[in-house]
Amino acid sequence: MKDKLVQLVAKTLKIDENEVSESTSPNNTQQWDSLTTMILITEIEESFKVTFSVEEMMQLKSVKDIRALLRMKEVENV
Amino acid sequence: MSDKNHTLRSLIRNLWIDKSKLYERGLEQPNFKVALLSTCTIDPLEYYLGGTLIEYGFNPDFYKSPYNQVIQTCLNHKEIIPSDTKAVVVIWRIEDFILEELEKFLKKEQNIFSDINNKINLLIDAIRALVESKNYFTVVSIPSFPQVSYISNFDLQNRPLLREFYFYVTKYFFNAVRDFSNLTTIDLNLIQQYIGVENATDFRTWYLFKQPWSEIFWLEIAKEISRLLRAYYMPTAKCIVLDCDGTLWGGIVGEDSIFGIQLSEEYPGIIYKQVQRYLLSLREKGIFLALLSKNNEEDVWDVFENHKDMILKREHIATYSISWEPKHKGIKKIANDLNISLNTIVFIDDNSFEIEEMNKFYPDVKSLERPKNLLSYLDILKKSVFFDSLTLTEEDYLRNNLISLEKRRKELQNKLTYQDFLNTLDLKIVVKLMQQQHIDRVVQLLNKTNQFNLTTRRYTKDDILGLYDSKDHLFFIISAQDIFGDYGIIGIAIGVLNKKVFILDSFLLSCRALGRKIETALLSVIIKKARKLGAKICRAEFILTPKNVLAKDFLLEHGFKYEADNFWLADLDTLTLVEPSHIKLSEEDESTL
Repeated sequence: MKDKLVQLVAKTLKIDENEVSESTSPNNTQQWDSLTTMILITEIEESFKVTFSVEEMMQLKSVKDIRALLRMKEVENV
Repeated sequence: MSDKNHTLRSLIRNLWIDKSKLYERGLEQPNFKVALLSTCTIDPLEYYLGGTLIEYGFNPDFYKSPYNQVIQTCLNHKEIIPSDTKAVVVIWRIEDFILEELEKFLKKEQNIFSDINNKINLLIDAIRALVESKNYFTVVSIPSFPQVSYISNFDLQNRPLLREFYFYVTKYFFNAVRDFSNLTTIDLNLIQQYIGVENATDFRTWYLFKQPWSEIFWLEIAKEISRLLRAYYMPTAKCIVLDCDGTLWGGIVGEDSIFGIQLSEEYPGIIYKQVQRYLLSLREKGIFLALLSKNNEEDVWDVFENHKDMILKREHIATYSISWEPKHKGIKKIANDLNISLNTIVFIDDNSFEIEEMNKFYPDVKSLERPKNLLSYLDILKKSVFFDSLTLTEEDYLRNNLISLEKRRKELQNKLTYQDFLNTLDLKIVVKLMQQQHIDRVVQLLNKTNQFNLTTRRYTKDDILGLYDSKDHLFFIISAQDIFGDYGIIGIAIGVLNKKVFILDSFLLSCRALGRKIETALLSVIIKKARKLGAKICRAEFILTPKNVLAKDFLLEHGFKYEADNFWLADLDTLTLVEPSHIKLSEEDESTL
């Protein structure tokens, strides 16, 4: 069982969970475009009950970035 | 407005994500293509519209026109929009489409109205080209009131002008498109007013993605669009099948009498009156009303004919089934009488048991449970999509009757027996001998219960206390619970042993507990106890009243033979009772008997 963030990324980008790593990003993942970025932000905000500022949204450029930001927002078990 | 709906939104988005995975794997095929055209980024709509359409039984997929190319797409729809498209949704905003004219208007420039008209006419002509092809059903937005932050020269003084502009534009547009065939409108402003402008807007996604609206707003927009599409493409209700007690009036006419039911200008009776008014208005729109009630028929018609607060009259009722049979049988009769199919019937009942039974037997019937909170009763009926209807021709209806095959297949798989249904209830009963603390409830039941009551013998509290203290009478009390809840004490029996004869003086069950064979279980406990006490014969009495026809055959069906003068006998050496297999009788309490 992969962690919740990996599951969310895989589900939103419609790719296999095993294809998602910390370095997964728009640069190496074709499915991660501006539309899926928008949907991914919604999924993350609503699943982890956080709200991103527009600046934070712009920083979400990889799974690692997202995880770091969620930890900074004191989300547990990320 | 606090936003607690993120779980619901997530569920709806996931419905769509899961469905699109099934398409990708070839496990299911889409059958309902919707084209989305808009003046701004509307990608979240795909997720919410996808999910809500799936809930209504569609297998949707989407074509999205390029960003801000509404007019081009409409005018060239034959080349651009896929030919298998069933519906087109056009979302446009004043801020995107006609902002320049708005700014000029706020600056009070001269002759601006012809510019405004020309601009809106462009859109109207494009939409006309779309609908005239008659290829698709079209839903077009009436724009929401503009978000003032988008307007550069908005100030205190020109506020009323913004309002004037908004009403001018929306009225002009609406008047032009309202009579287009195969088109309906969705008023985004009504939705925005309902959730509030602040809640409807998301500037973060606007500045990053040109997507102006919040997830809350998108969900509401999607819900309304899918309701419109459902009303157009799916069968709408032809008949409302109504329970009576607890549905058309409060209380139980068979127990409380015509004078005791709740139906008046005061709360709670007024709620039922309002519901009846709404039902009558649906009847005026051409929907049949029918009754499906477990009752004595005379009691029900007595209310219809003689209760001064009844809005519904007997002549409003197209057909009925009033009996003690399980309701899934009655609904078949009603459907046959009216020659309509089950998927055009809405069934309303206050009893979860009846709703569950109907859902199990006939999932095609739309079952609505009267909410426990009466205040929301009318609201739930008014919000119900089953009564939505858009004017449509018979031809449209036939062409678009998409899912009836799928539903029929489901119904065939669901051929279950009444016993199968009872087995799912997880019914547990406890039979005990009465204790001091039960006396009030026992007196209440003895004096209130009319329908399943063998003798209708009434006792005062003093009578009961006297018999209880004398120790020779046995008072059985039965309580029950199932998956719908704990019913508490729902039945009483009183018996007394006279030499070798066990005499059953009273035997009754509250009507809330009927239809589950609890009466058989209670009788079998009593018979066991009588045998334990050395009885050879059980002697029971049935006194027919205008209210207890329901219990008429109970003794006969349970192995008793008629003696004389209302008395029935059972030989305890030979009597065999089949204990209902779906009822779990509590062991520990059995031993105390």
